[in-house]
Amino acid sequence: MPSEAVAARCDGLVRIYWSPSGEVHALKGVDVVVPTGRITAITGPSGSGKSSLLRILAAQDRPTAGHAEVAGQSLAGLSTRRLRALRRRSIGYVFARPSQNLSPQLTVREHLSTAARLRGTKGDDAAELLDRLGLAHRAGHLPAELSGGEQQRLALAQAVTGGPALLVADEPTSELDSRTTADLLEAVRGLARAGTTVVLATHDPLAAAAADRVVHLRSGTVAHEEVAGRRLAVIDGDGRVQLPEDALARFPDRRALLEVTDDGVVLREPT
Amino acid sequence: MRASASRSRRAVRRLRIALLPLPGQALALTVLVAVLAAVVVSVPLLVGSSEEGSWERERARRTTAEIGTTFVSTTIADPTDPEPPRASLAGRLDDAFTETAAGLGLDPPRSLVRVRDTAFIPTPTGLNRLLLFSRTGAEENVDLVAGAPRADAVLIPQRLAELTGLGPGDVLTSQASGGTPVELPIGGVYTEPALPLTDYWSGQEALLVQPRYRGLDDPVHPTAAVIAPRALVLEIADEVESGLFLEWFLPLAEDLDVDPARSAADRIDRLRAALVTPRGDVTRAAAAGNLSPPAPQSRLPAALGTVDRTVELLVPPVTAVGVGGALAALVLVGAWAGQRVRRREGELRALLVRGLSPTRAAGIALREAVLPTVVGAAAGGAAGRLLVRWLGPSADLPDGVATWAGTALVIGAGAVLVTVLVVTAGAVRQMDVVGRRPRRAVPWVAVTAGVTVAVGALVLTGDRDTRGDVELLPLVLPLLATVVVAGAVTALLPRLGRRGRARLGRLGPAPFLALSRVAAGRGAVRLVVVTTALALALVVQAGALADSAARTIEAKATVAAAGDVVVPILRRVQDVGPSPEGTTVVERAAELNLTPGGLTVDVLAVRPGDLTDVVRWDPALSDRPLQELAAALGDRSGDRVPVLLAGPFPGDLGAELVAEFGRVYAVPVEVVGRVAAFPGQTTDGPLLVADRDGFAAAIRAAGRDPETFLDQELWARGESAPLLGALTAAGWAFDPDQVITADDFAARPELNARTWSFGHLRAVAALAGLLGLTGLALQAVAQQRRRAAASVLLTRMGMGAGSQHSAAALETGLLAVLGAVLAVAVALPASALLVGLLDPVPDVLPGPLFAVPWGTLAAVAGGVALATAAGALLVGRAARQVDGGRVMRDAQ
Repeated sequence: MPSEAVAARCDGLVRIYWSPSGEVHALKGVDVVVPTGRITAITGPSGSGKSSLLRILAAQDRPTAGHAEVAGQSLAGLSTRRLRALRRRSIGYVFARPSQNLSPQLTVREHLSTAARLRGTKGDDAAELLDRLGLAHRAGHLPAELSGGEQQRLALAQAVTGGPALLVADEPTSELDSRTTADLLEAVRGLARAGTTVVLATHDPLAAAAADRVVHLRSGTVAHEEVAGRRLAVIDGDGRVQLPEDALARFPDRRALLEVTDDGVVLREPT
Repeated sequence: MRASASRSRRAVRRLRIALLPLPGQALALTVLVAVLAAVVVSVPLLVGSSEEGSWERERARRTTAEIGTTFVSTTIADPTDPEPPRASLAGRLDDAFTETAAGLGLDPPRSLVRVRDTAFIPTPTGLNRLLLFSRTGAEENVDLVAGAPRADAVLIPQRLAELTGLGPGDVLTSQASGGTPVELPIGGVYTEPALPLTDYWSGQEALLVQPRYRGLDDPVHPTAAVIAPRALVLEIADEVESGLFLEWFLPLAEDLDVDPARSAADRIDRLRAALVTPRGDVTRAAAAGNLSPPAPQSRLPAALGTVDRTVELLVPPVTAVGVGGALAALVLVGAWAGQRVRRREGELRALLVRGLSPTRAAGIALREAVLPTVVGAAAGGAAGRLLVRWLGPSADLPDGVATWAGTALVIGAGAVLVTVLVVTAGAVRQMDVVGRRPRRAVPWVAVTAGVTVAVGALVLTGDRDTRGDVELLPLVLPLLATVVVAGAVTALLPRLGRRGRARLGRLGPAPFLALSRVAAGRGAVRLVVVTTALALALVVQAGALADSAARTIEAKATVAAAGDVVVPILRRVQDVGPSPEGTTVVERAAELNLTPGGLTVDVLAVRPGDLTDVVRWDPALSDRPLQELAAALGDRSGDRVPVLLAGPFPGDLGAELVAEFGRVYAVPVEVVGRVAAFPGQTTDGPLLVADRDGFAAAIRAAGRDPETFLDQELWARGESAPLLGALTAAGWAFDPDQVITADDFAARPELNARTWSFGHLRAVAALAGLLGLTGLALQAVAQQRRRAAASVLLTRMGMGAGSQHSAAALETGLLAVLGAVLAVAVALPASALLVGLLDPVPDVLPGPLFAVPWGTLAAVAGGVALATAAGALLVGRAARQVDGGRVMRDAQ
């Protein structure tokens, strides 16, 4: 695999939450690499750790253990203030529901100017973004006057205002129909082509198909990755391999014979 | 032009977005700030209004002569002086006084110079005493029927003119006590001023009202007040070698507010100091003329002292209530800020993930709070001013109060903005934290219960109220108790709900839904019940305290003033015949020894037959009616004098006792009843109320004259002035300063302060109750919004909109009734306990009386019904506005 520039990297990521019923291990040693200028999709069933991983990649949370690096900055030891500054400077975020991303009292144009102010830029790219995302003719409209797809495109626009290093989107197409989803994904691809790194958490096969890389999580670990149509197992720095589910089903006793050959590494059921 | 208009519109829109993005939220804050502002400004405004009102009452109780200041001086008789100073030197003193007063910015005083020695004028009906005087402006303040004022002649009264047949141009001849003839040219004849005297002549009754000294041995001569120019008075005084009486009256202007009155008092003080300056003109003139230094007489300092004492007593409770109310309002403002964060959680989260800091979020909240705060503060301040103007003790305010109120308003508004800032920053910071270890919840019911017990112990074991002061601690006790009980009851609701689940299941859909929601006892239910109970408890407590204070004051007034007027009669002149119609004469004896038991008691001897017509009676004084007690007192069938025990007597005292006055006399008495206090009881010690004739007969039986040992008082109903006039005319002798009226009692600073402070508490409580019930209705709407998805599901399951609205209304009603019942059940008995500790005038019996505030309870019931109806209407409207499809989509 050729070496790529990396927008975010996670090594052995562990995240533990505390609840009244005890500790919850959301991430159990996740290794993920997010290449720059590409779309990375994170998929997995509910409770697999998508949201936890996404929050860490979006610098909203710190890992309990392991190493996370976003936009060239390690999250370890970052104060809340610096974490916030990192978000402001380098990360755009899009929630699943359009209404979660927008302020009902602001017009499209005002959303972009507010986002630019928050990022500390002058918002010079607003017109270009509106044009690219097909919202130029809706600049003076309030969110309630926009369709769901337009609202989500506006959310994308305000998230990438000022050119953040990473755009993180949590189920951005979950509220949209297939046609609108296709439009939105085209807009996302356009952003990626323009150099924006995108990380999506999604259940949507269309969204996953639009990604350059798909990271599939299972029970807080990476089950496998798909790159260019190939399914890859992930090996962490300590040599641990996460088997895909169908492969795991072959080893009911959780034990395997390992053979290293010239062609590769072979796992067999012990006889 | 069009571009300019567009720019203006955009600018206005930007401003509106920045300052007023959500008008509904802003309106809620505006209302809260208005309430806070009204409460905050009510403290200085009520104190100021009370100061002014107290002054107005004091001013109205005093005559012009009493409230003004009179300086008096008289010739000092020196029999060893072979050549006493000439009377004309008194003119210098008069001039020096007037100049000194003018030098201090005072209006020229009304100077009176009167010949002190008696001279007589012969008339066909006998001798008349000549009262020769001059007074500044006297000639202009009488009605002349003949002649005109002249610099060398006198004005004589019409009665004297008619008796002597003299008129203008004639000479009035008189003779001084030393035999020196006095000849006074007559310039005119005036009509004697009618009673009551006008303000100008107020205080000059000695000159203008005919004396009636019946009962004295001295002969009584009619007086003739002859008005003369000052020079003539001084000349005559020199001729007859008489001393002089000088008087300077400095009237207080009518309708003077308290500040000018204080300024006037200050100027009078400076004048008094100037008058006694050793090298001053007045001192030297007085010494030269052998005159006493002018000495002031005025009720102005006493009236201002009463005002100050009223304010002193009023400030602590009013401040406590104001600060407490303001803090409660600030808590609500904090809740608003928290609710704002909650309502705009999505928007804030969207900003937080993009790096918005809590400080900046708080800054935005602060910016959005500025306009509602300013508008609310202005509206609340204006409402507070109007309420105090309409309902306060006075419509006017002293100087400086407006500044004080403005400062309080600014501080309150600042506190609102700081609260919004801090709460928003804290709430957003919490929102920004992910996966923090959960904190253990504070058991607030247990903590509040502990605080309540501690406060209760402090209140019950602390010093009792002995000066009419109201402490803060007792006032919060019923509120704390209500919070504890409401918290405990709502904590038990889920258990009760589980037990009654089977019965709930048999109910119709609407009552089942409502009852099961209430019985679930979730956080919202607890919050609503506790806050509603707290708000209504404050209303109930304020009503109970105010009504009880009024009831207590009413009962004490009946004891302090007996009827309406008590006139102590001078013992030497009691032979004046029967008392006027509708009055009764009672007698008192002090410090008798009561045996067995060794108690020291006072005795009040009354005519039982007169009591019911004269005294005011309060049922709180005894469980027996006055007629029955009077009949028992008047029963002379036994050989002992029937008595009532009034006040603090031991319970085990026997029925047959002996009241002894040293070894002088002993009266065997029989107890025929007990009362908490008796009208006319002047101390909080034990009092024997006896039949007057029986008691006097017993003293006589001991060989003593009752008149020697008993002081007399005349009790009457009605206004004091006509009664005193009638008594004077009938020859009764009394000291007007010793007369006690019901108004005197009512004017005591402790009572005014108590009444006004509880009125203030009541107003603040009414606001709290209003907010509590409004909050209840709004909470019902918010609950409906939260339950939008459940409501849509219920509709899809076949439950009609009507049933759902009924359930919501029933739930709101149940919560309101639960809160109200808890408030009444806890706050009312707790207030009853509290009333016993708050005696406004401990030295007057009976002790504090509790009154059930029926009006307040009715208002609470009405408020609960209104809040329920309003909640039902708002919930119905909110339910109708819901888009079911959108709700279900959002709920996924």
